[in-house]
Amino acid sequence: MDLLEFSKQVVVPDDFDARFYEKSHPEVVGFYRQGAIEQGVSNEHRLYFHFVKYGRRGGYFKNSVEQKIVQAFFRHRFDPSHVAGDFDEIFYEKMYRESTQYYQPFCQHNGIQSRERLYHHYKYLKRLSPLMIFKNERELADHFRFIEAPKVKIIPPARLAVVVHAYYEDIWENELSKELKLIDIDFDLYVSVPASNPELARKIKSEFPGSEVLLVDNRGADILPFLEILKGIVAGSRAYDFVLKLHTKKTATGNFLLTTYLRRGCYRNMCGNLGFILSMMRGDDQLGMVGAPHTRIILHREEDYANSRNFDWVRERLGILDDRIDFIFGTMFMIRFEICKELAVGDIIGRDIFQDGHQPDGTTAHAFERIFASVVRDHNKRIALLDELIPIDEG
Amino acid sequence: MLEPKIYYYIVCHDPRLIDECEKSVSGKLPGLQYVLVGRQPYSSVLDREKMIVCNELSDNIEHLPNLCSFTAWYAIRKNRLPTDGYVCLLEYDSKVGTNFDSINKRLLSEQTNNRFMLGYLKAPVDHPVFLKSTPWLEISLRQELNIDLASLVACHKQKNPFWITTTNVTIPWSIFSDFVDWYLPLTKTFARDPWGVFVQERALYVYSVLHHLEIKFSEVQILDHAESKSHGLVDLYGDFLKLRGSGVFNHEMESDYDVLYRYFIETMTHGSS
Repeated sequence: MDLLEFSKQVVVPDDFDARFYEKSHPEVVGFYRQGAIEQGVSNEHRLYFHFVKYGRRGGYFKNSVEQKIVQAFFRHRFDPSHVAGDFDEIFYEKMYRESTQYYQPFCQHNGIQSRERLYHHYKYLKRLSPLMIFKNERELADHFRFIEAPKVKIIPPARLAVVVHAYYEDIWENELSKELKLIDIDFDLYVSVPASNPELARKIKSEFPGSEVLLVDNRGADILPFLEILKGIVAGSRAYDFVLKLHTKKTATGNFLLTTYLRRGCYRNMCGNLGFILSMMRGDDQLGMVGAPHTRIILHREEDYANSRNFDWVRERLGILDDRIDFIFGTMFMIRFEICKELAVGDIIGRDIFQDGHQPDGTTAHAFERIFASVVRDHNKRIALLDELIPIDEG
Repeated sequence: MLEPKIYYYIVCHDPRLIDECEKSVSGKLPGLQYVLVGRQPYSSVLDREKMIVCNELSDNIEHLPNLCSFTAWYAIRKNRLPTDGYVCLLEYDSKVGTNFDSINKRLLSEQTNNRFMLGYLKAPVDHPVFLKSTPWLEISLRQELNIDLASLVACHKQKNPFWITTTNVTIPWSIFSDFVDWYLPLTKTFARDPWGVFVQERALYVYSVLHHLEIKFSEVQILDHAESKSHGLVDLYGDFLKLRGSGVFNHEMESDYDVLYRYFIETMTHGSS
């Protein structure tokens, strides 16, 4: 409806104070001003047209009484004295991007500061999912901290393959290669590196002389390279008991801080407790897969993040029965070789099903993140996180 | 005459509260099961047989975080946990008397048909607590069913002057399952807003009058509701009273509250919050 039609069809209600509206919201002064004059539309109608079209949804007020009542309510609702002293609003907004919009227009027009508004959002989210909501970086770091498991001997010794996709050179150099060097258990290292970075491949070879380094296309994120390495292992008739899958996880589009702490937590907890994990898996045939603490996620199929369409498509293609979206996120875990090698047999997974380059969530590679867990369950094995395996210290 | 078959459920969002709750209802509700909503990890001393974890059921709406009790109702209905008799759904912070089950059974036996809902706590329907607790009741009814809430109440308040406060009810299975199916489309309007949780108990009244059900109440007090609000949710009405530093709503507040309520109705209808 245009202004002229609006002025003919709509009666301006008594409680709309045009003078107040224009005075309180200076940007409306010029709104359709000339057009209204030319079309003989009253100033009241012109301003009410703005209110209906834009003002109301932006939280604008129609009179001073409304303004007074609503602002008092908002000041009470977003009371600064309720905000915890250690709440870091800059960290919080970076972590939970949806918070930027939370009551934004309401607060903007009611003199509420970002800090109070964002803290309100924090309280709201904390109620919904208390385990993954942090009010400052210290809490996030603590969540993914290193948990030291008891030192144990692995009897009999396990044959271990560590399979790494090293896409980001900086993460390899500064974090992952250092963690791998601290491992005091025998393992074979397989690393996939983007074909565009042969220099990194040479570097890895010289750092880890016994390693096998494979140059790969930038396709299928860390998943396709993992499957190709598995394929090579199977084709070479090599066999292992367990496979530790790691990669230089980083995000350009997602939550940078969460990804950083998750990645470091995975490296430290998996590499630093390797002996314990292997011994637990050795001692429990039912244990098919182990992840770092706080990395298990269960999703409803309808959730956007569930990626259920791709998940079902891959399941069907591979003949996987388990359809639960209950997996270790970040795709860094220890898995039994006998289970994961099935994914590398024959040509059930063609390269064509994976997308090129970096993709946000929702791709075939992301569906695989969910598939590994289903394969484990199809083998009637269970999935556990490291901290669930550590005995509680009775002392 | 056969005793009515009642399936007792207590809905709880925090596993830590279950053991406490069990102490207070122990032995009073035969066959009682706890329905856990939300995604918190649980470690109760209870037998797993006494627990229903919605997130573990094949059909659940745990991805809609603000529906609280309805998440349990939905899971019970869609997974066809019972398929007959009566369903008695209680909130975790309700205290039931020792005679709850026997009085409940007597009340059900007295009914001549299955077209009713039985509540334990009541309040007048022509009051802001019903009409304006949350903007979402009015908005969802208008948007999804083209129903004007004020007119509906004006039309039915003489015959049905009270609504069942809280979601503590006993309902014949067929009515319960039909209510869940009727209510589900409404939730799409408010499922992602914290004030959405306050719609369900009010919608029971709307559903009842639209479907010509009788709204029955226990004449003796066999249930008390502590309103622990451990989920931290307060409705618009409650927040307004807090702002005014008052426990009760009086007539001087009416016009101010109406301005506030209208402000939210209009801004939320425009799709911003």
